[in-house]
This record gives sequence, structure tokens and C-alpha cells, in this order.
Amino acid sequence: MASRELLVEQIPHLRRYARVLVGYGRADEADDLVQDTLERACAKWHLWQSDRSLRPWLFSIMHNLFVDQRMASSGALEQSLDEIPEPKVAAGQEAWLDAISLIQSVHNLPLPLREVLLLVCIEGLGYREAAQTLGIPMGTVMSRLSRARAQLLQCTEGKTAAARASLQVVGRKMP
Amino acid sequence: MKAVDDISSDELMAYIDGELGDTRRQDVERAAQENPALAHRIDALREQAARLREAFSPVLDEPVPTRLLHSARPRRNRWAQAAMVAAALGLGAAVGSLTTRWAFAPRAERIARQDRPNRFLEQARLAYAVYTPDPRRPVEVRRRSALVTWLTRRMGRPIAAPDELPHGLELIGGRLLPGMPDHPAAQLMYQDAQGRRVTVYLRGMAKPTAPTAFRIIDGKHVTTLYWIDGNWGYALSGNLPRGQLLDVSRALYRCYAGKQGPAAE
Repeated sequence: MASRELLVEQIPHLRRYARVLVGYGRADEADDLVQDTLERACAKWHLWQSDRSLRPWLFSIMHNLFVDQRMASSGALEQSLDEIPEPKVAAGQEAWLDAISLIQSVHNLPLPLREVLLLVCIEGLGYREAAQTLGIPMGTVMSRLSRARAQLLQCTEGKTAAARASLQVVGRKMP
Repeated sequence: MKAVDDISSDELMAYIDGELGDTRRQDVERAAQENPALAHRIDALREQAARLREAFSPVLDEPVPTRLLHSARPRRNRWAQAAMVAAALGLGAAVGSLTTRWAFAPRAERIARQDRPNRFLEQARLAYAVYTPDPRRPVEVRRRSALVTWLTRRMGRPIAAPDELPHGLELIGGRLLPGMPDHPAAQLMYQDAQGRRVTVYLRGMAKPTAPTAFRIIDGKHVTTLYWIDGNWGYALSGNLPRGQLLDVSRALYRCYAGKQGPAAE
């Protein structure tokens, strides 16, 4: 049963990638994509070479599935930015605000940028692996990464400042 | 040596992600020393990466829906599958045998049986050895409020991280580490004025474990003091005199248990 365990271990990471692709507020749709990916991977299991890391192989299956599905539904998934559900555990207000605004900013990035950001920055894939996963040249990975980070820096700096300011205004309410 | 302007944005990315060759990496580091704007940008990008990882990590802890678990069944070729079914039936016939129970026990449970204070101690000492010498990123999260919130959420219990501990030890930050299945471990790092670092490593034990009093294990370069309380293991590691470590561990014990520390053995 070793191969099943290998696959099960990857599910949380697949769910995270799916949410970055589909949208953080659409957990169910994202899980549908995970399910499709798992089924495809199981059917093609004999094609996985165990010298290649499993996670990038699964990511590339998911990426291709998502691109195909989106082509089929002609961009319907890109319509609106979803609301991000509140974290279940109460957290410090400031840390919570930071995380929410960051997730939102990531979702405002175009898909090719946020994908690269997730693979390299969050999942820690090497450039070569990321390029292989997405089927693009390494140079493209780097330039997308650079644009994604620059855009994100710009918008998080703006947003955090705005959020802090609004917090202060609330805090200064008249007695 | 190349000029600052020579560092392309691609190279800056490669530097941040540890994909730059040694020579160019040194160029970037030298350039950053001369150019505060570049140094600031590098810091901002590093912090961004840490915050991204933090913001996108809670989903990893969510319970996996059963429908996904059901979909994860890699197909083998038919003969292999038939052979496995036959083997499973054969084993199943040996009802009650320990081997069968072992073979069919869920993985987490199987590993839980292997958990023991020694394993906990090994992990704690390994984590100390790996992260304290790291000059660049000894910790994942530095800001105390973010650290406490994050660790508390991931560990499923309040994790205190006092700013200061006895003998001038100040909090640098902390990180989350794999411990046992369903029991992630946390590592907090402290540093004194001489730059000596100590770590606090804690996690839930994977199976009920009897409390132990403070125990001291001396190694070549590190002394570890550990105790188990309420099925949680705590280990303090550092290259400090035993007496100082003992003071520190008593302070920690009070902080986590809210009572007087047990006597040293």
C-alpha cells in the first residue's frame, strides 16, 4: 500500500495549490479539482517515475487539468474575487489582517504569476522543477516570479497601511 | 567585482531563492552592503516569502475530506492487484495475530507505537544542531505576536514564547517542524549578549507518555534538559553551563505548567 500512502501525504499540498488556482473562497470547487487530479494520477500511476518527486508531477497534472477546464468554461472561473472565509481560530487582529490582505493580494495577481509564486515561494520548488511543472522555460519562471513579487510588495505595503489606519480610526471612537 | 546596477531582477530572485552560484551570490551580498536600497529590498522580499508561507499554511492542517481519500487509490496492473488481494485474504485468515494487526494498523497509529522519549530527544537535538548555526534564517517567524498566534494555531494548544529568559536570553523567533504524525513540533530560539543560542523544542507525544522529571543529557557540544508533562515533551538545548540551563528550564516549566518545576534528577 506504499504508493497509496505516498499519494495521501500529498493531498494537503494539492488542496493548497487548488485553492490558489481556483480561489481561496471556493474550497469545494478546489477540492473537486483535487479529486480530478487524484483520479487522473491514479489512472496514470504507472507513468510516474519514482526518481522524480511526486509532488511536482501531481502539480503538473493539476495545472494541466485546470487549464483545460478553464478553456472549456471560457474563463468563467475568473469572474469575481471571492470572500475569504474567516480563520476558525481567533487570532491576533493584526496578524489576521496581515494574512487576509496578503491572500487577497495574491488572488489579485494574474494566474500565471500566482502559480509561480505558490510553487517557488510557498512550496519551495526549485526553478527547474517549477519550469517542468508548468511546461515553461526557466527564464519565464524567473521573470514571472520577479513581477509577482514586485506587484505583491506594492499592494501589501499599500493595503497594510490602509488597514492599520482604519483600525486606528475605529480605536479612536468617541466615548 | 560587478557594479550594483549589474544585478538583474532575475539574479535578485535567484539570490532570494538560493539558486544563485557562489560567485554571484557574493557579488549580491557585497552590493547589498554598499547599497542600502538593495539591502532593504532583499529584506522586504525575504519577509514577504515568510509571510506568504505563513498565510498559506493553515490549509495544510485542515482535515482531508473522505471523498479525496477515496480517490487516492493508485491502480496497479491486474496481476499485481490480484496477488495483493490474495495476500491480504491470507493474512486476514490469521485473525488476532499481532502481525496482522500491525500490517493493517493505520500508519499514524503504527508510528505512534514507535514514539518514545528517546525519539523526542533525538529530534530536539537534531533541530538544535540544524538551526542554531544558521546565520541567515535561524527562525521562520520573528515577530512575537505572529509567532505565538501561528504556533498556537498549528500546535492546537497555547504556546507561550516569553520575550526573555534568565541569564539574558532574548527571543529571536521560532519555527514549526515535523514531529510525529498529527503532532507537529515547535522550536523557539533564544540568544544571549554573547551570541550563544539555545532552543526550546516541544511537541505532543504521539502516545500517552508518563511524566518525567527534569533529565539532563550532556553531549559533546550541547547539553539538553528535557521533561515530559501532561503528554507534552519539552527540551531545552544549548551550550551553556548546566546551572544556567536549569534556571532557564525552571522558568520555562513555570511558564508552561503554571507551577513549580519538578526537582532535577
